[in-house]
Amino acid sequence: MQVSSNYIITIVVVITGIFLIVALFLLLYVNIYNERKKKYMEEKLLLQREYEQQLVQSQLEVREATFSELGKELHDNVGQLLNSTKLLIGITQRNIPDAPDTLFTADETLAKAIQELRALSKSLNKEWLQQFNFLENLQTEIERINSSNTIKIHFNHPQKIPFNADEQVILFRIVQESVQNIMKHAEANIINIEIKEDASFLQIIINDNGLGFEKNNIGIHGIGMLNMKHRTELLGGKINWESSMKGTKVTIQLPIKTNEA
Amino acid sequence: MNIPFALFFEFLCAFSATRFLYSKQNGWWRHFIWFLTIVFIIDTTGYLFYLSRINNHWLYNIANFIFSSFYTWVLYKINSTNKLMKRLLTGCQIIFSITYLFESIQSHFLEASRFSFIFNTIYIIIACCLYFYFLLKNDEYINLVKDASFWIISGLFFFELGSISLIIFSSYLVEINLKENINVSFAILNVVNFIFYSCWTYAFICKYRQTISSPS
Repeated sequence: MQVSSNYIITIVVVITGIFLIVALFLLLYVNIYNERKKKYMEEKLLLQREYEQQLVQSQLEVREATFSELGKELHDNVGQLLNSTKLLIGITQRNIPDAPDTLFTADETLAKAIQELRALSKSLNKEWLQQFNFLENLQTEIERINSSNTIKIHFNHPQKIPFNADEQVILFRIVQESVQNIMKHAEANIINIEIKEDASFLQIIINDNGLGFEKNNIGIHGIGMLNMKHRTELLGGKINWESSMKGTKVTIQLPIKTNEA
Repeated sequence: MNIPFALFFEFLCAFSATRFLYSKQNGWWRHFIWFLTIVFIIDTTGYLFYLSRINNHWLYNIANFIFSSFYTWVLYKINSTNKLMKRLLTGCQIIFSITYLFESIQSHFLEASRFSFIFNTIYIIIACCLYFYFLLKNDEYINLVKDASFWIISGLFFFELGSISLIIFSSYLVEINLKENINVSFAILNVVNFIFYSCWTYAFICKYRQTISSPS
């Protein structure tokens, strides 16, 4: 059977057209599916982040509760024991006509220890922390550290900071951890804490004149830094460490939430 | 007279390959430069033969084997981490080479080895589909708009799907061309080549951007 030329041409053109359209649809499908995959992955990542945040929040709540309990124990138990000891030393001083100087020195040292313990107990107590704002608590903590005369902390800050009480506690713990790290490892004698605020961000810069550190050589101290990072992320912010032979600079940047419901 | 638009697209694509893939950082992608240059030279020669009414079937019979083998090699390189694809492409290329040789020897290399090329087209289409399948199956998200490999395979996929009917009906189309002077293959190949070389040119641009944005 003879097949006409037009028939063949039509068949070839139609088949080619259909195949090209099929190819186009297939590629469109691949692209749409790929975009859906992207969306799904983004949602998954968001859920994972939320889960991690909740986990960190729970961990922090447990830690705060432990700190609070520890503070109470220090105040009620160890504090009472030290007070009783101080009372007994006072009685002994009065009963001995020529009390030795070492007894007076012991009395003074004990008084200092009780004072330190009260301050420490207060700083661990979450309820106490929530009664005051971050700036007041940090100021108290700085005064306590400065009174030891081993390190000098300079503190520059605005009038107030735009965070609620819970967030202020977290922020306080971040700064506290950073200062403690410097005191333990940096061998610094000056710390500068500066808080700056603009329309959308609160920036806290903590720098010292210590030894600095190498990122590859952090070891066990990394846990403290990891805690700081987790806490900062919990507040939706970012933390960055810059270290050199001249000291370390910690920059914490936190978003300021406006129009809060 | 048929205007050889495909030659123009080939030239542009070969030029863009030279421009965007010249850097040593591009690795095996640099082979596109010589390949596209050879394609352009062969197609120009083939067109000149056609104008001079000299039979060019023997030329395309040999050239198409080189082209098809190169496409298989490109697919192999793009899917180099996928064992199934590597095995499939190696096996199919061996079968294709044997059948091509068998057919060509029978025709003394004077006619197109139709069945070999149909087989080649089919397995390349299957390999392209498998590439898309594995791409979707992959947990990792890839931005396809900027992915050079995706555009290379898309171009190839369009080309093979668009030209399969020309291979199947090649004997009829040659007859029509001789009797009625209607060159359907030429017209369809112009369209298919436009899509094919546009995809490849865009792929080279993607590869170039990727190379200049990544550290050496």
